[in-house]
Amino acid sequence: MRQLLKYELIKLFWRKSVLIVFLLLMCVYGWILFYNQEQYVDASKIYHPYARSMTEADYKKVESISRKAMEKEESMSDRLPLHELGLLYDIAHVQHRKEHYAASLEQIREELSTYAQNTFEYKKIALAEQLLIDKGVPSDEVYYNKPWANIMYMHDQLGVLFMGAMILIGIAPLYSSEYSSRVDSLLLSSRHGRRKLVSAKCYAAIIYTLAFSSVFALLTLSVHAFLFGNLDGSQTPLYSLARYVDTFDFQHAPFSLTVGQYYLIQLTIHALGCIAFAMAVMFISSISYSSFITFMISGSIVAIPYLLLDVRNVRHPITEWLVTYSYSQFIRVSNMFSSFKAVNVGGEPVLYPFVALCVVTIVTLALIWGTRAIFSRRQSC
Amino acid sequence: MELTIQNICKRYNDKWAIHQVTAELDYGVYGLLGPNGAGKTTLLRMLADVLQPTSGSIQLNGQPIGAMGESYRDLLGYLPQHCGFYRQFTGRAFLMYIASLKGLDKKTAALKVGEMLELVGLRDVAKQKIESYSGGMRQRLGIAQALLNDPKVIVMDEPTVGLDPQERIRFRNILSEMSSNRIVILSTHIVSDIEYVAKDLLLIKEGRLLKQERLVSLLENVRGVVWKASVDEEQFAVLKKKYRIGNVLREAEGIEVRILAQEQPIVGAELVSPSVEDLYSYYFNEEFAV
Ligand SMILES: Nc1ncnc2c1ncn2[C@@H]1O[C@H](COP(=O)(O)OP(=O)(O)OP(=O)(O)O)[C@@H](O)[C@H]1O
Ligand SMILES: [Mg+2]
Repeated sequence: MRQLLKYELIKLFWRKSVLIVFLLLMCVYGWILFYNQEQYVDASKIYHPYARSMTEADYKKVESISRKAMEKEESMSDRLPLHELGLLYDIAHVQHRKEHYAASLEQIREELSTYAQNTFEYKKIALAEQLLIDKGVPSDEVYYNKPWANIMYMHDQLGVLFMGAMILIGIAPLYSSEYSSRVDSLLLSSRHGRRKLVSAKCYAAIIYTLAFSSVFALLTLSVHAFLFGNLDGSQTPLYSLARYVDTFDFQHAPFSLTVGQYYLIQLTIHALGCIAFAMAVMFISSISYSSFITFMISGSIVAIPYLLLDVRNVRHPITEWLVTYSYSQFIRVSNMFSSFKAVNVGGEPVLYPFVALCVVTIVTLALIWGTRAIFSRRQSC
Repeated sequence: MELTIQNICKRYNDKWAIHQVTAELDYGVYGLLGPNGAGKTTLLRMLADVLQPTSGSIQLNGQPIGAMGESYRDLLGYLPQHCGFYRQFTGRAFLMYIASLKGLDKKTAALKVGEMLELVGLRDVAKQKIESYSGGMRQRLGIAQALLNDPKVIVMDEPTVGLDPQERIRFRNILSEMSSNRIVILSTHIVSDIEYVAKDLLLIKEGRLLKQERLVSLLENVRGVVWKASVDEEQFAVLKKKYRIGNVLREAEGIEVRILAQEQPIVGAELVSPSVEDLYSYYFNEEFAV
């Protein structure tokens, strides 16, 4: 088994196409870093004095600065470096998020009163309320977590593309190339060519996937540690996570997590999602004679929802549904945590991340089983 | 050891590629002979457990091979007609990979791989990538991989294709050395490959087994229908229309031709003792149906 696994790994990693695609993606990585270079400024010293409760005076100050800028009819970003502007922005957001918290709680309670108890809708909104109460009133401190915000940004922007491409290019030929190069009859007529080989291929695909997701995570971690000189802010609350002058993606997150906790959760779910997708590609590979066709079919599975939602921003019930349960959203993770979503499971509301995790697990196990069944009964041509 | 083929059939859409073939094989070399599309490959693939028969069964010592599964494949060495390779692998790495598929441990595998490379004469190029191999070298690599696990049942589909005369002889010698305690089944179009080593010939035509007999007794069947005559172009044209022509030799003084016919086809033709080629024409010629 060890020997078989070794050779499967060699076949996976020793492909020129894998190397080429990896290098191309590294170029994209470099480009994203270059494009966002203003972001990579360590402002922890500037932020430090504001690690306290904000007061009305602070809000006023921010307001007057921005009013002054408006009067002079010049944009603030011309006068201030991005990170200083970011601080003003973050101070303003402290006020905003408190107001927003109160408003959403009120809205939820109002909505709750319109539904009869024991209906699903009621339970769902009650769950949202409970989570919001558990989360608590957002603090009125300014938190510094820019290295992490940029790490998450990189995972969000490039993570799906990187892993999607590496999995496609690596796993699509897993079985297809055996068929098209006619090695399959040698495999199938050998002692371990049916059962152990399937396991070896499956393990190899998982190792390959984990290897590349680790490479991406470690690279991102070290690049940002290098650019910022530190990785401050892992203990800060998730709702305060944003890059300089950027949206607070997680301010509506229904969970009270710290940035560090979320990072670990996101890495884990991301890795699981990648493995799930790799298994899906493996399954398609086992029924297709051509790596190219496998590549195209699996590519569309991951790319279409991604293009619809993230690139074209198409909103329609069908696409919404498609997107909710897509591999790309699962691999991306962030959309699972950015707002409250619950699914009706036998009349009870269950949080979407849990449902998605269950669905993906079941589908993946079925696909692994299917691959095994197909290859062990396969007849070569 | 006994390999029993019982009434097997294989149907593709509405065409029988193999129809009700029954045969009994024990130690020795069996040559599968038949024209293109006769069903040789189909039969061999079923013996190699990579194709399911539509009906009928194949048994080794009374056990169906499908049910034996891994334990049957452990005894099997198979060379497909169109054998694929990993072109980026070296010859040695490829054999090591197949050895691990066959369940050989690392030490045995290294030993066996060296032995096989020597046997098929590829030791000097073992460290080169397979993509740099010639057709004949690949074919020999295919033969080597089939023999790695010291198989007791050897199934080879046209193993001598692409081999030069010297390599053919080498292959023939390997076969006759191994056949004493193994079942070897191979298909070929070149009768001389198996002429001296084959125990039985199996003649297949249109998916049916015509005969399973020793070569000598098959030749005996053809005795008395092979004629040799020296003719001119005109006579040759007439003969060609009426009879199945065997070997044709054009010489300065005329055409020497072998004719298959139940009675004397032309004045001056004389009966000759049949060759294996005559045998082939006799059995696989539509117009000269048996
Ligand atoms: N996958 C398939 N689908 C449909 N028909 C097939 C398939 N494989 C083989 N056949 C048919 O079965 C018959 C037997 O083919 P087979 O390959 O066994 O012949 P063969 O004796 O090996 O010929 P050759 O000497 O050319 O190798 C042929 O008529 C072929 O067309
Ligand atoms: Mg054939």
